Amino acid sequence: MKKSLYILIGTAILSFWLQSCSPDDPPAPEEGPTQLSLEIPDNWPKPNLLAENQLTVEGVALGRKLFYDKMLSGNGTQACADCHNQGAGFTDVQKKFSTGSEGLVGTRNAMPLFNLNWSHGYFWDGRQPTLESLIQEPMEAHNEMNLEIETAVTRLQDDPEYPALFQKAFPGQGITTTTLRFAIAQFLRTIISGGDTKWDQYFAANRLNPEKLMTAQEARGYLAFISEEKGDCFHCHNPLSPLLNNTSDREFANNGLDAQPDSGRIKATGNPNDLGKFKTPSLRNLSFTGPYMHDGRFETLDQVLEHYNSGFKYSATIDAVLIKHADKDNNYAPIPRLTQQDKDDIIAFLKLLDDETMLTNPKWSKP
Amino acid sequence: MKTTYFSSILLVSSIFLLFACSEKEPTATPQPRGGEIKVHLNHTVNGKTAERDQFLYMTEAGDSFQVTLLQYYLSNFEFHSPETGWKKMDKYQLIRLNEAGTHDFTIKDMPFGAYDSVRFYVGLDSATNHDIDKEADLDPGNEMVWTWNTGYIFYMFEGKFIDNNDVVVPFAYHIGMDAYLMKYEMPIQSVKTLSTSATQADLELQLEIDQIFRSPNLIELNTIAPVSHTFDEPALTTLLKDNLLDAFTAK
Ligand code: HEC
Ligand code: HEC
Repeated sequence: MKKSLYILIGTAILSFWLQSCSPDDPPAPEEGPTQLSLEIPDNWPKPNLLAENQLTVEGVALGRKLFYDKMLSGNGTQACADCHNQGAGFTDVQKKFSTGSEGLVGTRNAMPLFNLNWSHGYFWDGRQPTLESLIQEPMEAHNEMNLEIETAVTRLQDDPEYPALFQKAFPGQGITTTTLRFAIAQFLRTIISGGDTKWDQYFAANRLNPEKLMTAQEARGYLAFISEEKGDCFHCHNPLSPLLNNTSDREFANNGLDAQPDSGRIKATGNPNDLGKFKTPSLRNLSFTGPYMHDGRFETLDQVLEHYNSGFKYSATIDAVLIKHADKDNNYAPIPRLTQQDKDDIIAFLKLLDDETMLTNPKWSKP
Repeated sequence: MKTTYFSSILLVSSIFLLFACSEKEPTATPQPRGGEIKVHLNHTVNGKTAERDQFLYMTEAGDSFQVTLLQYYLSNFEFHSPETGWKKMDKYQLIRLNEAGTHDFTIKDMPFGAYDSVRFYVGLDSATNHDIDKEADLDPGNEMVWTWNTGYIFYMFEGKFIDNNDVVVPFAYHIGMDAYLMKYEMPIQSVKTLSTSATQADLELQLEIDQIFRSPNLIELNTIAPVSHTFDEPALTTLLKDNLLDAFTAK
């Protein structure tokens, strides 16, 4: 009797000890959607995810289906994917401006959709703070999909397939404007381009001098890209950041497209210093994402390079980086500094950032 | 016999229990052997708290200007007290004018003493400067690095001024490279005493932003290059650096 009492107490103490010291043990598995962790290339910064919208296998699959579904446009003729085509780096194939489901033409170049977890503002003027908040805009815009989000919800509720899929992805929450936005955002967050390109391989192998692994022309282009005297591109398109853009103070910048800018980030912030500032785009996958700039004004990369060489225009909010290459005694007109060879070299370097695998990766294709 | 056997198991497991978790649950609070100094950065222009993005200010030379961006590294802190002599603390911080959260930081594990002087760098020592494979405040993704060979930007200051033809011109002065490391030593205006009864003290560092154009070198924005990255404008950078050496006070 006494013996078993001691054993009992001993076991109790032991089990108490075991429990009290194992706070890191995984909790008991719960019923529900399967958590999904993003495959992010080594050494990239932490993604900006939305805590309320944890990625799940079921949520991403649902978002993918919705992204390709024409049912989300007023007249059933257009899906997100029609303006964001995988084969074109998720842009609108070679189009300056996109045409909406009702035939109305927009005023901005459709943006590529990848590595969106590393942005702090969405759309060319950054007016949307999160992907989750953004979705409603293209769906409802008259010159895009032209469908009230509430009507979209009703349509999905009446569909034979969607209610079960939403139940799996968002158990007990049903089809609402929130779960609809969250599902599509989850899918967008999984589109990651990087790791597979030549640039990423060279950079991973020799972070300090990746040019040592490049061809002579690519190496010249890279060195011109990061030189203050030549390209001087890296202030805004930082080769050390995943998007090859700038994720802090020059995430939105005025690169001198217009002498009298009349829109831009000012629309989101109201700050007069933000007039003519637009989102500094990624320089990944440029071979597939033309035409270039927020209004698609340049068809070729050579035209883009010539803009930075001799075409940029002074305005009160132009970036200081460009003023460095402008003539103070001639109304801050550009002082050309790039030869044709320099431009060709820089373009050869930029092609190292093309990620062909993204264009065909079955994870992001039409389900 | 059996009883004592089980008693000893009980005893052993209880002792085990006591110590097993001691890492997380200390049994008694030890007497503090040091304290901490909480540093706050206060940025001013013409004596008033700095505001961004508006033409509110005049340089000493009479140029109307505004501040759009200011970010810099503070590092290599050393504190002096009669008790400890100069005591070096391992701390660096990237300050961004645009992010209030970066204006406050704590220097921990300070020995007790009455601290009357402080030394620090604006910038990073040579070893740190040339090893940019770092994280957090030193992550090259912070846009505080030029290229792989020259190292970090120590002091990045940008704004706009109105030139002689009434044109708004952006300026950007980026100071870096080992030769331009800015080393400070100054008295702390009210001595910070750390002891068993006072383990925390507040230190205010004030940076007068406009000092960069004031003295000893009076700088007229109209006459200098609007953009400098140090190695392209070594003479100008020396003038700016010398002015910045008078820009901080410790209170
Ligand atoms: C008619 C063409 C069109 C359709 C359809 C369309 N988009 Fe877009 N998308 C654009 C354009 C144009 C922009 C840039 C708009 C701007 O900046 O004002 C854009 C921008 C975006 C961005 C911002 C990317 C960034 O880097 O900031 C996201 C995300 C996006 N669209 C997702 C979607 C989703 C999801 C759908 C479907 C619900 C969708 N789009 C439907 C044309 C379209
Ligand atoms: C002052 C910051 C800045 C500098 C310097 C800069 N860019 Fe840009 N770049 C931008 C911004 C902002 C945009 C988008 C502008 C817009 O659409 O209104 C852009 C757009 C581009 C685009 C078009 C991308 C697309 O998807 O439409 C390319 C290509 C490009 N830049 C390459 C370069 C190269 C090469 C250099 C150096 C010669 C360079 N940039 C220098 C800020 C800059």
